[in-house]
Amino acid sequence: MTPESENFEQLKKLLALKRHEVPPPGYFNNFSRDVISRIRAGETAPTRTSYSWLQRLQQILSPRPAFAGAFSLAVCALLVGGILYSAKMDDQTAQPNFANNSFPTLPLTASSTPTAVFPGNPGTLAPGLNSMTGTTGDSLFSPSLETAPTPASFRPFGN
Amino acid sequence: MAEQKPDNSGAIEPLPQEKARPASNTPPDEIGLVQKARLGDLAAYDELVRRYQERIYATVYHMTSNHEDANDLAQEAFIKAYSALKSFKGGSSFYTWLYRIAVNKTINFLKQRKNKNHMSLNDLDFNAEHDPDMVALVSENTPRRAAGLTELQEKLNEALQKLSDDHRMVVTLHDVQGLSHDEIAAIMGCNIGTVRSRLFYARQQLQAYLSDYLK
Repeated sequence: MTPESENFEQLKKLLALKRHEVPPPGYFNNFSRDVISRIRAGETAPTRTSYSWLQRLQQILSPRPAFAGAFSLAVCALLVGGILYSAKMDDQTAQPNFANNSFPTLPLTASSTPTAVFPGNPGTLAPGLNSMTGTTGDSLFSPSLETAPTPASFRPFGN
Repeated sequence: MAEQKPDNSGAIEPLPQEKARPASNTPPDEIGLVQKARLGDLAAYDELVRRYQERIYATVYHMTSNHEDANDLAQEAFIKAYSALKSFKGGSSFYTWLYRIAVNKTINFLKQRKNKNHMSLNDLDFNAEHDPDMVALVSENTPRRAAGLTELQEKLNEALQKLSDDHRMVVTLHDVQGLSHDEIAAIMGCNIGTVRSRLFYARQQLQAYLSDYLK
């Protein structure tokens, strides 16, 4: 027997000490019961797909820090890329409107102000009011329903 | 224990008897138990758990040197095995297949646990004090004659924890559990040459770490 193999024999004897390490007394009496009850609980519990998905991802990434870093970088890059892309798309859609100056503008000139809409005849419906239903076809905030200022003539006394 | 209604919804193929019969010493009723468990019979699975609980627990415990972790992992291995039973084709013995699940679960756990090693060792049984090999190791070969078995146990576990997971697994399965090279190769999914080389390297490492106790 070589000294090396003799030493391995000694080592094997020392390793045999591990076989004497035993769990607390009675430990195995409840072991299978615990396993079966956990199986039963797992079968009755509702499946949480998103949780298990996240848990699986965590299990995959946790033991591989480099892979986890690369994955998070990729996610960040994707996020930043998405933001930049959407900003660019916004610019592209907004630019032609600026160039043509085709934004709808409010009529600010005096000529475009609504003129009198009520002719003062009580027998006629106000414009915008449906003659059949009596309801307004336009919005309540439609300019046609607003009371427009009536031009008045001012004649001082004595003239 | 109340039997659970067999789940006949999924078409489960019967285990091929030729394949399911392993070369190793599998009890003859095991195939029947596995077949019943595959159909959802929890009483049959309970019997399988009782049959292998000590060996699975011991393997995980020797890998982790922590009773609480071993308890959780061993239970989880059995639960995982139950949920994966439908995919068990019988290409290997149930025992080897179960071991493989436990080993993979343990190695994954150890990868996550890195640098957070906390030993929670089980007590030595009564026989340890009367084992002639142990007595010889403590009283004759140990330079510190006062070193008791408990100290030896701690040093041994510390040395084992210094090994890589794969090397510790091979030493555990072979030198502690007494499995053959073939069985270890099947469990770890590598060839026998790899098992032998890992075992040799692991023993060399352990010998260096425990040189004080092996003189």
